[in-house]
Amino acid sequence: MRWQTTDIDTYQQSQSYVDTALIPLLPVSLGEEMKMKVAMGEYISLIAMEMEKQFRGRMMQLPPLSYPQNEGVEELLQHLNAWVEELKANGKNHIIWLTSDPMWKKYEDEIPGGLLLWLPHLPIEHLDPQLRQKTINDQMKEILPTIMKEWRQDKGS
Amino acid sequence: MEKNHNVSRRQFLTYTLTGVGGFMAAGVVMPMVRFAVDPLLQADAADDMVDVAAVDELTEVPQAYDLEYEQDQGWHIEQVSETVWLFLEGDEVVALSSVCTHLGCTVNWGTDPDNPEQFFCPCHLGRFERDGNNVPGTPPTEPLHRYPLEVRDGRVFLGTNAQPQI
Ligand code: FES
Repeated sequence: MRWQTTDIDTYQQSQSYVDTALIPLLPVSLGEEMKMKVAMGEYISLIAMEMEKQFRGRMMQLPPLSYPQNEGVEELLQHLNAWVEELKANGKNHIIWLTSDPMWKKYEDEIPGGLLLWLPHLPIEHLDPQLRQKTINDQMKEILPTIMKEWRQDKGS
Repeated sequence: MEKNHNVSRRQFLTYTLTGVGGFMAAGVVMPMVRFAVDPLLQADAADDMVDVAAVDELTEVPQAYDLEYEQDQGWHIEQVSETVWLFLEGDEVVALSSVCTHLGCTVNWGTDPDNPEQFFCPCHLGRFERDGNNVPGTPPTEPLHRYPLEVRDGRVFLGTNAQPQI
């Protein structure tokens, strides 16, 4: 489900089925790496949309968490923890952080709440629409087992 | 020097008011144009079947195809892409929607190792028979929806409105 008024009624009626939150992590920079960061953000947003489409009955796609590239990891982790608290208090036992930011790979073990879904950024903005869709579909095929694995871990409900 | 570059208050007001006025005029005129043109658009929409596959690619085993079309949302045109399961039932082509009738996740064919001959929904383990009927005891309470379909010159054309099959 999406963070949209049209989806919220359904959400409220079926809350107990929606135990997963999806949050994209997007670095922002207006400096040298700006173009790269924009492309990365676009890619991750497309994947997030596609994941929402495939798993909408169990997954709530939240607005992305963006941060300036130079923000300290400690502060970011603290922020993530605040999120986890809010989400867990509302029955979201699986939290999926979706990103291409290489920085997070180093902190995989410290990321709270569930799954760090780190994807290498593919420059699909140069592809024609059909090839782009195919690339995303292929990516989704790889994501599916990871999500299933996360769901198989019973985290209480 | 500097003086020339400054926009006087009067100029500023003139520019902005013309701009705003233009918008307002457009707001009045656009719906009129729309009303005038709409019947034409509607007539076109009647035969909105979309070509998705060749009949001779199909088998008894359901395969996934993309149904792509544009949807007019009133304020913008949305590019829609839906996954459709196509297969043969005898000589007949069947097109099932991939949207789980429980809460809308995407179902796949044969991905549950215990039930290789069924559609499977990863979200809450919903299952459907090959003909789309929901398996009792799993969360979905109605069969997968079916697309209206026509075969023309060996190609499968689908309507964009999958229908409940009860
Ligand atoms: S959405 Fe398919 S079983 Fe719940």
